[in-house]
Amino acid sequence: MRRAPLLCALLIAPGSAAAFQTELSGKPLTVDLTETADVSYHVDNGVVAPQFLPGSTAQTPLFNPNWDPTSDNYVDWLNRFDAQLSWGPWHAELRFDSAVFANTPTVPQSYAICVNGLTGPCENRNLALMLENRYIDNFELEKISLNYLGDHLDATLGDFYLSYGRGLVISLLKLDALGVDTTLRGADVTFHWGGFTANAAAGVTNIVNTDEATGEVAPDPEDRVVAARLEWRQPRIVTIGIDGAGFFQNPQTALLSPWEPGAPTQSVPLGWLALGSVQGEPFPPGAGPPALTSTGNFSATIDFPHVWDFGKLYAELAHQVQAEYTANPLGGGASQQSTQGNALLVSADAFLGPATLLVEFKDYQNYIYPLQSSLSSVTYPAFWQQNVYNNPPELEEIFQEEDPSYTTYGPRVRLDWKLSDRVSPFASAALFQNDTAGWDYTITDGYLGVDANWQDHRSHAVVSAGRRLEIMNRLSPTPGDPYQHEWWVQYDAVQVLGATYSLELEGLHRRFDYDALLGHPWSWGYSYLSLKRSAWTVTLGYEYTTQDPAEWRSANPNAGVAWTISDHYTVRAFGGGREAGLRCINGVCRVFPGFTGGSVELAARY
Amino acid sequence: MRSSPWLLLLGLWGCAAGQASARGEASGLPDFELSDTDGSPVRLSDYAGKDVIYLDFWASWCGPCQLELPQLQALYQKYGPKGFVVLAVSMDDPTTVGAVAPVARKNGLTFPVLLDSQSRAGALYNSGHAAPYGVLIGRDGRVIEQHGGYTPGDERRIEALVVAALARR
Repeated sequence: MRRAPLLCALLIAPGSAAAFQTELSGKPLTVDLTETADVSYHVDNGVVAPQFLPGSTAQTPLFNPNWDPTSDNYVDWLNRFDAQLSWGPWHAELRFDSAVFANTPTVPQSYAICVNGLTGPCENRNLALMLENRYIDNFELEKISLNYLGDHLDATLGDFYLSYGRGLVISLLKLDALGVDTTLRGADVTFHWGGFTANAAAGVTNIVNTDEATGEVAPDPEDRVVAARLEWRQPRIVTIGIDGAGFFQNPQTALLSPWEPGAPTQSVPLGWLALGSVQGEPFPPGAGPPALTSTGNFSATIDFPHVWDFGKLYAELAHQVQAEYTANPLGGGASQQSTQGNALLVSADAFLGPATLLVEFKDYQNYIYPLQSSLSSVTYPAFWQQNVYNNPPELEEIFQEEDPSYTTYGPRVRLDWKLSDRVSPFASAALFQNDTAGWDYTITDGYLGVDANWQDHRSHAVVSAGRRLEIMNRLSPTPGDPYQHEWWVQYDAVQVLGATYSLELEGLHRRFDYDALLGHPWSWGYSYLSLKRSAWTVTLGYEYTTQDPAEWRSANPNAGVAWTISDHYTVRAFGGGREAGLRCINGVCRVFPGFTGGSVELAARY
Repeated sequence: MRSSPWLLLLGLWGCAAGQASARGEASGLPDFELSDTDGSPVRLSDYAGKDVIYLDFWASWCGPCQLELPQLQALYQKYGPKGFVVLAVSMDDPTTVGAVAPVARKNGLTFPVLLDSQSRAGALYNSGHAAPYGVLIGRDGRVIEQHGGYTPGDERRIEALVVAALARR
């Protein structure tokens, strides 16, 4: 969870009570408006690879395939307007998004030939393809919903989030730090009756169509989803539930794949009531999409919140059925392939005096996750990676990169020991075996740390260090040899300075002693120092990587300020660089491009 | 006839909505219902109009949240008997929700800790999805203050607001 502590500390949060309240028919009517505007100037995306390789001449250009000008020297203005209206048991909400771009990159003349064919000095056809779906102005009613909450009924029409259990079956969520905000647009109805709760939901998936990190845009997948859950609970004793969800990829969205560069295109609106559109490239008549999947996930859950007052226990058993239809790209019949999988997740906490013992176990056998939307991974890489429909716990440290794994199993154990009110050391150990696609992949992971506080909990420090060894026999030079060997240290310390100030230092340093894939050791990390006062936060940061100095900028210093101007306004400014790389929040990961430039964000609430 | 299931659903919804006695109306606050870590359903309207409420949006992975929780526990112990309650709304998603109860125990939290993985309360009171994010609500159902982030020392400002809110009958 890279930079999450800093992000959560700096997130724009308008000040005190600002909602407008009046009465309608004797009932209070509350209106809440929030406007957030972000203007950024992108100098570049941290790629330092030059356009031409050594030895290149004007007559015989040698293009560098790593050169990437797709995020250089442009301005974006991203705006979000939220309006909420509450009246008695009714609640209505809408969100209007806009994205405007200026001075955006274009395909250099020397690369134009790549669009029209594959002849000539074309080294990077993807460069042209990537720009096809970027920097498109859009104005859109992004989310809209109406909710009723009664004694026994909770019903929503419009956009809503949905997750069951621990996310094995369905998990449609909002993760701002990753730019993820996926809802179902349809109907969600929940009945409560005694200890029983029944939920049913149906709709089509709705994403945020402009990816802030890349400027990439994509239409809503509108994959069909139906889901239901029945739950019975006896508070403090047990909660038992069964649930299921069906996911049906939208063939119209799956058809929006690049068929031939320069092929005739069609305009596809970015979303419902959207003024922006992308130029889709549908497959020729008679040819179907390469693959379409329909997936059914089902699970049973049991949760004991108190096991003789010594702990708690959660278990979930899931079954999956997936059918994949593969079309003949030249027309003709389609083939169908079905797979089945199972997943077991068990989590137990034991509270033993000063000790808290957490034991977790996963056993996923050919259980496919995360389920991807129907958006093409080639045409919409930023969206394909983040917009997923289920997401079970990996039981890993959430900054760890995880390959998609369908068959994996193993335990994790963590012990926290409260030595005193001020000091709690902790230790964790994990062993996972991943047999997806014959990887024969073993991961051992452990760490030690201490959580300490002083000055009545007002000053605080958490420091941990760990080691991770991965052996992937399929890819290791010699079976049993390491595939990757990593050491890491993570720290977060806050020291109060007098009555109103505090100083925070937080960071993560990862050192890969051995990496069979890259063939050389490398380091990656960040460190942030913040001076905070209640309305102010001033931050200096430094991010670095030695993964590939020839391609990526190694050092990225930056600075930021967050200021709560008044009850209604908050502003945040950032300048400098952020490195490219994988960023994981709560188990969902995506590769972010680097960023060098400046941004200002203003939030206002009325 | 494609829309008939939707019309049926809308009709059922309307019937049920008409019969159900809505809650949360007395205070005028948008209501929500979440489960606490014991599996018990908790509604904002269980407290609204009676107590001074501090809604604290937090997450197990949020460092500043871990700093703020013990301070809120101290305020709750001090002013709980006078009608002050903290509702700690966990924003953890399904992949990290298992860490909520251990964190609550580690910090000795005795106020309700609610699970909001579907952003039901968050959509109403924390649309920016900030963590930590506090919403102080008076006995009259009015939002007194909303504040994002936590800096040591904020608890003194919150305490002053709580004392003032408790003094207003």
